[in-house]
Amino acid sequence: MLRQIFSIFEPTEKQFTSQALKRLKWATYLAMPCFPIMTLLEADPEIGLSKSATLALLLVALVSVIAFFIIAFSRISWRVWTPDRYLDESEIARKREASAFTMMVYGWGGLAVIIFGWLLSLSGVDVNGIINRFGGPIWWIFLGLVSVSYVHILKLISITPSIDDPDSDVQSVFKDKAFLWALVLFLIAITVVPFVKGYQDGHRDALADIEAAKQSQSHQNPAAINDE
Amino acid sequence: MMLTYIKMLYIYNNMIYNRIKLLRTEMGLSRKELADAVGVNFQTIGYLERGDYNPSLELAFKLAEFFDVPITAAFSPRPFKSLAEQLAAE
Repeated sequence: MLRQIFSIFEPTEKQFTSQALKRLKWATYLAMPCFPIMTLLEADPEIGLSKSATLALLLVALVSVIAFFIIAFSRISWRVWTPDRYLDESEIARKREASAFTMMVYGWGGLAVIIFGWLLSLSGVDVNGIINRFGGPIWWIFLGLVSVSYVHILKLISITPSIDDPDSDVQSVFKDKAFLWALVLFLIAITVVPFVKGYQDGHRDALADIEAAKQSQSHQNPAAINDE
Repeated sequence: MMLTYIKMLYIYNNMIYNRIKLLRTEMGLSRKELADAVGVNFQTIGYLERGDYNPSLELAFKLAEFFDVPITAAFSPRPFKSLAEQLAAE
C-alpha cells in the first residue's frame, strides 16, 4: 500500500531533462525569500515599513510562495521524503550525498550563526530583543530548518545528472493522473479549508456584533425596544 | 614501472565501463523495460549507460544475468574496445 502511494511521486523522464532541473534550481532560489519576507511583514508594525515597501515585499513574497509550491510539488523533492526501501539504488546514493552535505551545512552554518550572535551580544546588541521582535526563537528555528532544506534540494539538483536523450518510454499515465489528483486535492484543501474557516469565523463574529449592537441599543433606549 | 603506475591510475579512477546500451539495443528494449526487468528506476539505467553511475555488485550481476553474458563481458574497469577495433583484431 505504502509502495503504491510513494510510487505516485516517482519522477518521469520529463523531470530529469537539463531544462527541468534548471527550472527547479531557479524555483528553489526564488523560494528562499518566502519565509524571511513573512517575518519582516509580521514585524512591520514595529519596523514601520512604508506602503510602497510593503507592496514590493508582498509582490516578492507572492512570487516566492509560488516558487515554494513549485518545489514543494516537484517529484524530485518528494523523493527526498520517501523511505529508502522504496527508492532505487542510484536515488539512495544521491539522497545520502545530499543529506550528508546538508548536515555539514547545518553543523558549520549553525555554529557560525551562534558565534556571530554571541559576538553581537558581547558588543552590546540586544540579540534576544531582535529575535523576539522578529517572530521569536521558535520562528527563527523554523526559518533555519527551512533554509537548510533548500540547501538539500539544491545539492540534490546539482548532483543529479540530466537525461536529455529521452527514450521512447511509455509514460505511466496512471501515475501522472494520480499525481495530478493528489496535487488538486491538496490545493483544494489548502485554499478551501482556510476560506471555509474564515467564513465561519466571520459569520460568527458578524452575529456577535449584531447581538452586541442590539444589547447596546437596548441599554441606551429600553423604551424603544419595548415599543418594538 | 611508470606504465604500471599509469595503468593502475587508469583502473582505479572509480569508473566502471559497461556495454549496457549496446546489449539493451540488441535486445530491442527501452530503458524503462530493462529497468523494470532488473527492478530499478529507468534513470539508473540511463546513468549507467552514460557512465554517470557505477552499479552495485548486486545490480551488475542482475544485469549480466538478464543479458545472459558473463559479468566481465558487460562491465569492465577499462574502456571496451570499439567494434571496429575488435573486428580489426580478428
